[in-house]
Amino acid sequence: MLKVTNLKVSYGSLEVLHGITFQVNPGEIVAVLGANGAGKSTAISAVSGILPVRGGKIEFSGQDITGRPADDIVGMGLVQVPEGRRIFPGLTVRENLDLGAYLISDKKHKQESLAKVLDIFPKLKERRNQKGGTLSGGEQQMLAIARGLMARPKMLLLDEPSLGLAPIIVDRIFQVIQNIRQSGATILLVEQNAQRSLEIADRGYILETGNIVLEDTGKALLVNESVKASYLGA
Amino acid sequence: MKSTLKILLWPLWIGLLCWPFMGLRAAGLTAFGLLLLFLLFRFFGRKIGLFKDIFLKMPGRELAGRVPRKIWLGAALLAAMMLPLVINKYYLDITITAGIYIVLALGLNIIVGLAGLLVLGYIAFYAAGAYAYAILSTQYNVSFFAALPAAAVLALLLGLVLGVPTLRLRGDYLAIVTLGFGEIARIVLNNWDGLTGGPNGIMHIPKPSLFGLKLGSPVHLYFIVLAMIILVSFVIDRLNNSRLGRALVAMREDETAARACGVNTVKLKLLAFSLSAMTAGMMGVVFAAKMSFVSPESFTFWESIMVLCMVVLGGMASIPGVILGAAALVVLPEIFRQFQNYRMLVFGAAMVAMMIFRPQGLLPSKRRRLELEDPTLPPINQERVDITFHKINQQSKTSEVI
Repeated sequence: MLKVTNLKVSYGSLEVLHGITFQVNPGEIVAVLGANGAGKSTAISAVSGILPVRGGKIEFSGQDITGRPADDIVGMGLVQVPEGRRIFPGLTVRENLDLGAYLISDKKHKQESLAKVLDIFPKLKERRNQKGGTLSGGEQQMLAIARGLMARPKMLLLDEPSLGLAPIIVDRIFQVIQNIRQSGATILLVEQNAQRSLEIADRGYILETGNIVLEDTGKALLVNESVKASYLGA
Repeated sequence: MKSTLKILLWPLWIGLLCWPFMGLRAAGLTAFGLLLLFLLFRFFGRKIGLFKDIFLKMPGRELAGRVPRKIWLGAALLAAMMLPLVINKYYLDITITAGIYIVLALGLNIIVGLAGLLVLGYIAFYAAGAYAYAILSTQYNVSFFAALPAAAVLALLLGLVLGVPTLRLRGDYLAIVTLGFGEIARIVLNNWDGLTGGPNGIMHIPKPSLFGLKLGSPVHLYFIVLAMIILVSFVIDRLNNSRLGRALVAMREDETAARACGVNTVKLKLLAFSLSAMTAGMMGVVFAAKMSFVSPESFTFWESIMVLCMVVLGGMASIPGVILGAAALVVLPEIFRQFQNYRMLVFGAAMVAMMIFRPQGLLPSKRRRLELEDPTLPPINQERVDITFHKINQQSKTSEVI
């Protein structure tokens, strides 16, 4: 579904990704793991067209999307949920969700998405007229994911959804991710929480300072000695 | 304790500022006067609070709140229509000037208040409109109402020329580039003698007329300006409540997240920028017709700053706020005329005081108010354990989320 070949990304003259190659097949959850500064968020932002690509090729659903503008990519059904609960604090929950469906002009379509999303996140239904900024951290992350779902994505790019959240809320986030996959979307998950990610991921990639150093199934990576030593703290 | 210290230090600081040009005695008196004023305000401030409570509980206010917005707007419009009947020529002239600035400020508000982009060379579009009408009318006999759309198109094109390469810049960089643009525009006008008459400007610009009907009197101009205010307010109000308006707020709050939602931020910025530029261009035509003379002196950097001050003082993104801010900044200097040289000092001090005590502006928009002062907004990466989550988890052991 998503095929990234030899992707290079730089900030100014500093190259952050030195040509990474990975792919996500339809219906999969794929985790990209790595430490701070490994280039995980950079990779996801380059795929969704928010950062410019220096070299390489990105294909989605068989189409070359390298260098396409971000709104085109969202329109094709590849939607990013940015890192750090980036909701719009001054807009209400409802308005935040409406913005998620910004590119969907059909009102009925939008209503359906909204009903479906509020069904998954009943708490957001309760708070739909509250400003996004007044939600708790966990609720904000849920809103960010819900906003991503409003665009009816074929594939969701999740950037560190568990960042800075209490363990009990992290549980729920990972539960939601599995539910989303069951509903038919493909997921690329970028995380620092290796244990939890690998438990739900079909396959995983390990990113180290701009290079992919390891690729395997989620289960295999969970028991891999070097992964255990570096990322699982065992 | 802290506020008491503040009350003592403020007059002292202002007194020190005034010393060099007012002399020690006058500066000391000013400081002392301010101190008295602050103390008085502090003393009566509590009582004002009391009055406020009584006022809020008055039945009349309840009633006022229940009157629909349409009736308020209608009453305001009626009052505005009657205004020329009750004021003399001098005040009418000031009112027209205020009106022109109101529209300019409303236009700048689209890009600064709604889109959140700091643009400092705004007056260049105003100048473009004014010169467009000056040249078209004196050399090609183009009428006022034909020049309006022409000036709007010219300003739009200029806006695109400036906007396409620069709108990728953020914050300070955009401010500096647009500042440079404003200066370039003024210098070009000053030096292109063949077309603009250089520093002498262009004289004998005709007054507006429609189908041979002369509309040159101040009262006519007043109604033209009033119509522009209504038109621009209407457009901004519609924009605010539309899908695009929400996208503008989203972009202002978090550009990356807005892009991740599929908002084409470049297009949106260009749209806001061109709307702003067009408004300024049209007002330039009105200005040239009112003055019947244009010269580069009318379009200095100071003018850009004034219009920006109107937007900030009134309350960014709020239509009534911007109208009030613009009116205040045109009318107050007229009132302060008796202070002569100290006029600008009083003005500056008032701006500083405003930014300290009421940074959100006189009549802030609801959204802006929340962005600026709501202390309940958590910083984005702050760790927060939400107790309600635990409770729900304990009550219902469903695997459903939240």
